[in-house]
Amino acid sequence: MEKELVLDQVNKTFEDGSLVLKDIDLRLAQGTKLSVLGPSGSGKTTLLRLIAGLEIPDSGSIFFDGQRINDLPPHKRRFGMMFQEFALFPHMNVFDNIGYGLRMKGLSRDRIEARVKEMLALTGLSNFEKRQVDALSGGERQRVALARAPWPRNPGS
Amino acid sequence: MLPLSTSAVTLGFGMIITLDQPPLNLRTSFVLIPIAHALAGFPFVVRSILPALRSIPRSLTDAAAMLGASPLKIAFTIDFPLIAKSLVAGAIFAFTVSLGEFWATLFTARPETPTFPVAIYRFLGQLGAMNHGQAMSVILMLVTALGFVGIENFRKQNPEGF
Repeated sequence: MEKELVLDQVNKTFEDGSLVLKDIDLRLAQGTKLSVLGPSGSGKTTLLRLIAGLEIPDSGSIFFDGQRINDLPPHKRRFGMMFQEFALFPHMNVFDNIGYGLRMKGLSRDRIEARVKEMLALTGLSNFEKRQVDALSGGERQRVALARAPWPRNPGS
Repeated sequence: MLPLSTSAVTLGFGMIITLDQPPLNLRTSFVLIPIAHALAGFPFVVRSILPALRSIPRSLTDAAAMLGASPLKIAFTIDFPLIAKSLVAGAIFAFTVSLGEFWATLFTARPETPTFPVAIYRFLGQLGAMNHGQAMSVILMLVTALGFVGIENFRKQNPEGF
């Protein structure tokens, strides 16, 4: 059975009292692509942060695969996310940035290396492993963030 | 920053008065000295570390969480390496403050476990051609100066750390 992401009557108000999301209902089946469009400050990022677990909704429920995940911390939700400002770790090189999630998952060095090389090849960054992220151009940083973003999976999976 | 606004004499005297009842009867314990020194150095360590901690973008810890890192792992793999230099600067600050701390220690030090400045104070009170107190003062000045040269070098390399 396909996994499904469901948002049910989700509301979110910022600390300054401004209501940013009101009664959001959303149903997304596995493999669906969805573009969210709107002016600045309309709550697009907040919506993603709520799904990721980086923000807690004031009311309403978020379900994934039939399970209510409102109280599940971000590191247990198994979602990938690419940040607007890339959020690359400045004290790590390209390899360690991309392999960070795999290390957190406890994979062996060999499997991490295989997966990172796979992602580097996909994003056209082969031979960039040892480069410090501070030394990369804007476009290269964006690609590193893209290579790091998917929820860490085993190589080839 | 509260310990800075209090006289070290008050700090030392206050510790002797308050820490003399069980279960914390430390009046005759040498442990009072590190506690007093930690209190004296604490504001400097906080002053060094806090700006560095605040300068870590929230997106970095968010990204680490999204990649499966628990809060504890985020602290060890993201926060700690990013504030390591400030931590070292804070440690040097605390070390130099501790090295020269005199008034609180004068109250808390036992005769058999004097600190460097207390020992200098005692030696200087003794007459004699060979005054060890003067030699110790020179050593104390050199070590303290060395510490502050280190901090100054760090400050130049990491201006945002202060």
